[in-house]
Amino acid sequence: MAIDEYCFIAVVKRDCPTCELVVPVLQQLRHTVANIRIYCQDDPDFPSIPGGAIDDRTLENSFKLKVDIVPTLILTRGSEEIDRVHGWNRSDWEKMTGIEGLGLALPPNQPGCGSKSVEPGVHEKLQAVYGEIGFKSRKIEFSEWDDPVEQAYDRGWTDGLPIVPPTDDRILRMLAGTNRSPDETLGLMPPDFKECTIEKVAINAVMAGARPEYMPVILASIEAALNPKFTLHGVLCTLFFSGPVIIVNGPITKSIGMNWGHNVFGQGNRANATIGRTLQLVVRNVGGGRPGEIDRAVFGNPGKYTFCFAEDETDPEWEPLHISRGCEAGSNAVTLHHGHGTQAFADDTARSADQLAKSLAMSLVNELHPKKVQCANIIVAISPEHYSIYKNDGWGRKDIEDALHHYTTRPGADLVKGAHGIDTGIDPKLAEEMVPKFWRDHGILLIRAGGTAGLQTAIIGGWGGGRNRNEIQPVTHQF
Amino acid sequence: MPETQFLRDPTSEALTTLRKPTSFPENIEKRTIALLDIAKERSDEFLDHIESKFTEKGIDVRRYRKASNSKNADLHTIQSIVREADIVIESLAD
Repeated sequence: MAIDEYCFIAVVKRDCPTCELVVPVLQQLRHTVANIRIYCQDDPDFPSIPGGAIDDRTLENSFKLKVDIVPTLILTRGSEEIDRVHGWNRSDWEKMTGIEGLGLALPPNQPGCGSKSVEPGVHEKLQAVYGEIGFKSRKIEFSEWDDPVEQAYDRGWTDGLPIVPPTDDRILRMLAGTNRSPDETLGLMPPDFKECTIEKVAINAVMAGARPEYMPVILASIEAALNPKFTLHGVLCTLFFSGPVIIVNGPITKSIGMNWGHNVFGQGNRANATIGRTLQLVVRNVGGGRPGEIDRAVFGNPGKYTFCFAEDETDPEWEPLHISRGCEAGSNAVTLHHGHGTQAFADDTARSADQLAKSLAMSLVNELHPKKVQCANIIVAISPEHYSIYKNDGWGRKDIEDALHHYTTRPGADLVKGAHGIDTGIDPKLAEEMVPKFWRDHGILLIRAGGTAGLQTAIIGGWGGGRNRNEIQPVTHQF
Repeated sequence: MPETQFLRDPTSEALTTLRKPTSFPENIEKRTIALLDIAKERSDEFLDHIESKFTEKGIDVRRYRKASNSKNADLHTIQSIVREADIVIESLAD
């Protein structure tokens, strides 16, 4: 080999025992070959040999050379890479350099260490500065002294809470949570009906505080929200309380650490909090759905910051919600409901399944208005202690659903306009009929959730728009 | 010394254009009035009443109806109104 036509590049760091080990070899190479460059990632005085090293504490060269492990020795000719070895292996180094007798005092082989340029969080920062990122979203530049969190407030990007600034490195990290292209469009986001790309979702997910591994759930939630059956435009511009509520099912709930137990609808779990918040921020920022503008809710509800949780699937005898709605066993899914605040149901006396269902029905019929029927769909979340009462009597999902529909079906005479001295009510023609409170197919979304102690069930009410049963429904999306 | 900072825009990057509503007509004679029912309960009762009042005065009235109060009017309905009417009265109800 005409060695002077070639260039060797070595990349090392002091904080690597193998790099320390190969210092005599690097010194030998510097004496022997015409052209060798040594980059050091953490100490410009290392290795302490004649000619020293080039300071690469910015990691620019390590990144551009795609170094994963140190030491790495690369052989180039012009701009072309011919070969590379990493760690220390005498025969590999001898073969590549064409020099025999390298590092004879060293052991024949010793693995290297991870390059600083691929440490968690570092690679994306380097990619943002030195790489090609290809983002389509425009850059918002601002003064070096400005607080990016305040900038986001000033531009109307937040829901009232602070956001995580969407910098390029954070967006790159978020996009690593999906194999889908940043250019891919999920649909047109109402109310402005603007293209919702995965890149825009990732930006809003960063702002919400999500982790990259939540992206599959986030994307599924947005796809479910954009299903015409969900009527997202309607729920975000309604006068009513409701907003999207996300129920997550499947093995991913455990993988990403979602909460289905204690305080399941409350604060404290990052996945629950930020997945729901991302959907709301996408609606706000991409769709333009802002309170006081197109969002005309009279009261709204706290869940419009975020309302997302997992179902408790720890009992193998229980059929999870997504399976009951047609998803495959073992699949992941999100179910979106038009919901608002949580109504408590506390019965610590009932000890039979039938007693408990009958008692619960008394609370359910009050949804929206005691004399309104087939309007709002609801979530009924059974706590473990209430579930044990049903289970002890051999009741599963279908038995509970059947009983709740049965006990919430009431004589029309009690519900018609004027009955019990209340003008509100249903058509007097139905006075002689038994009238169901909820649509049979999707009116009650029954799930298991909540902490292990407490004879309680939670009811999450729904949007009055549910009266239009064929056009406004909860939507389940498998992924 | 901090360096220049930048963030990526999370919005659709579409500037909202504020449009002034058309001023109310000084008179409605010889105009065609579209009565748009948004399909909410009892909005038709209100529009029936309005229609009879206009008809008594000999004003041309045409009726239109959205498919649902929860969704935007479809393009066909919007274009029909633009093509066939001069003034729109849209009913809310409940």
